[in-house]
Amino acid sequence: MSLEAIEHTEPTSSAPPRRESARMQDAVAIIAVAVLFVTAWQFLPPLFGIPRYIIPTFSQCMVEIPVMIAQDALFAQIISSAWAALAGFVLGSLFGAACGYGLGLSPLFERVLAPYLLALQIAPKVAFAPLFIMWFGYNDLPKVLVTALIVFFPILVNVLQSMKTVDPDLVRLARAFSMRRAQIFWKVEFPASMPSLTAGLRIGATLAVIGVTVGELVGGNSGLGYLITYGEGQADTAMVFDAIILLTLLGIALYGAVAALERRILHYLPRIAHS
Amino acid sequence: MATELEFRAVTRKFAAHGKGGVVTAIEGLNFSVEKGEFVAVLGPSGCGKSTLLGLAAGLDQPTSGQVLVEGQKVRGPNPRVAFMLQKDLLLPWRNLAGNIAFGLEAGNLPATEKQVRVQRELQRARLTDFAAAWPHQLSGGMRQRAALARTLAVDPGIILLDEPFSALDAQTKLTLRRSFAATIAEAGVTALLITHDVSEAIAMADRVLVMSPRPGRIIETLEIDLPHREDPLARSRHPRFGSLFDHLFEHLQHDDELVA
Repeated sequence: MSLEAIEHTEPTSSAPPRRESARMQDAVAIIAVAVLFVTAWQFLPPLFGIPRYIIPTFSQCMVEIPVMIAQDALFAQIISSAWAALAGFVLGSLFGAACGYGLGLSPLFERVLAPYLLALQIAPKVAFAPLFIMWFGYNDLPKVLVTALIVFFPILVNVLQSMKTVDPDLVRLARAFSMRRAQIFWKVEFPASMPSLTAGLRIGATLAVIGVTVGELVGGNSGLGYLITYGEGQADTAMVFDAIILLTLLGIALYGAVAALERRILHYLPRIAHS
Repeated sequence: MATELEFRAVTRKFAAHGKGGVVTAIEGLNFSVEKGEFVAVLGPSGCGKSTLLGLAAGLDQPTSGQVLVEGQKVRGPNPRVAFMLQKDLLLPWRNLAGNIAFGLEAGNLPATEKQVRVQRELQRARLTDFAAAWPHQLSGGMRQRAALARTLAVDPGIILLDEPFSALDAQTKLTLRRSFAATIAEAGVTALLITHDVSEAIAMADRVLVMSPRPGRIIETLEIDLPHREDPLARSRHPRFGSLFDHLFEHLQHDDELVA
């Protein structure tokens, strides 16, 4: 019993929870910044005589939204972009993770392929968009593929890095317990890579919207990126603004979903357990 | 008495990084550990203690000589040998019970038997109340006790302890030594403790082997014929503790001067 008393300490790294009032203050300040920004957006451009085809005011942008719903099938465009972002993100993540683990398990392949991977990583992925359109035509496939290609690399790099930095003593321990290679992977290396994988997924989520937008700008006939080129052709700046805002919200939603998934997967980490 | 672990003229050389030379980590190492015995290997840092552990665990093969466990030549990892390190190596994504079960998952034990072993070790380590706790919620001492529980769960013939107390504060070290000594005595398992702490070796072991700096050889063997192996604190108050300490310390010192 005395041993328990001496050895048992309270969970470490538990920072005192922030007081509710401090949180409220933060929320008020954040909202105040938003109000300030929208007010400046609404009143400053007319004050300086900037016409609506350069910078439409906040209210002009809001008025444009029902027009876009009625005339440009806005909901269908949002769904088209969201679907492509999600499909490209999932596809790119699966391939990126699979290649990361595969290369992590095979140092020989990793050494041989490393320079090519670096080259591909440096190559501007968005530049592949016209190529994909030439190959697959004016449909949803090119934008999904551009998205997948952009998402692929950060996830591959993160997973590969985590495979190379697994504590070698953990692997030695598993080997000393007579574990087979596959068991070591599934019981040690794969779970150990989770923080890196989810960090890669978060980066991928922010990039997915870029892929979709580029795909739609270059050769789409649907989606919010298409509305940007369409609005540009009509000199309808409010439509361009709205499409950009909606694409941003789409990216935030995807990022939020990934962050929520991360909190579920990494529940055992003190940083997350106490936040 | 049966011999649990035996090193016969074991030499291990490594290719040195860079210059293409060869480093001899241990040379002509001869010793044996009897069944149920607690042997401490004492030596300065860099004397090849960890090499010795790798060889005994079957993670590494000697350049020449033989390592035998229960009379069988060690050719690879062996379920009769389990080790724990200074780092507890608990898996942060598993709760305590899951961590203790880790070593059992390599074999084909039925699920019920795994359950029984995990419960047995939780009880022995007095961690039953913490079975569902996550490693980050535990103190350093509790984590090391959990690591010992994981080591004992596989029912090894011998456990190799590589400086298991050296990362802990002085107070925790003392209580944990007592806890380990009691647990090991109760489990009746053979133990090989690697340490650089003279009083720890005397307080816990039946026999102390002193190793020289690299290339590691055994330069002294000392029987610790003190009572209370299961209680290191009581042992360290024994009147003969001081003279044993001086004897071992002198051998370590002597060797330091040779190197300098």
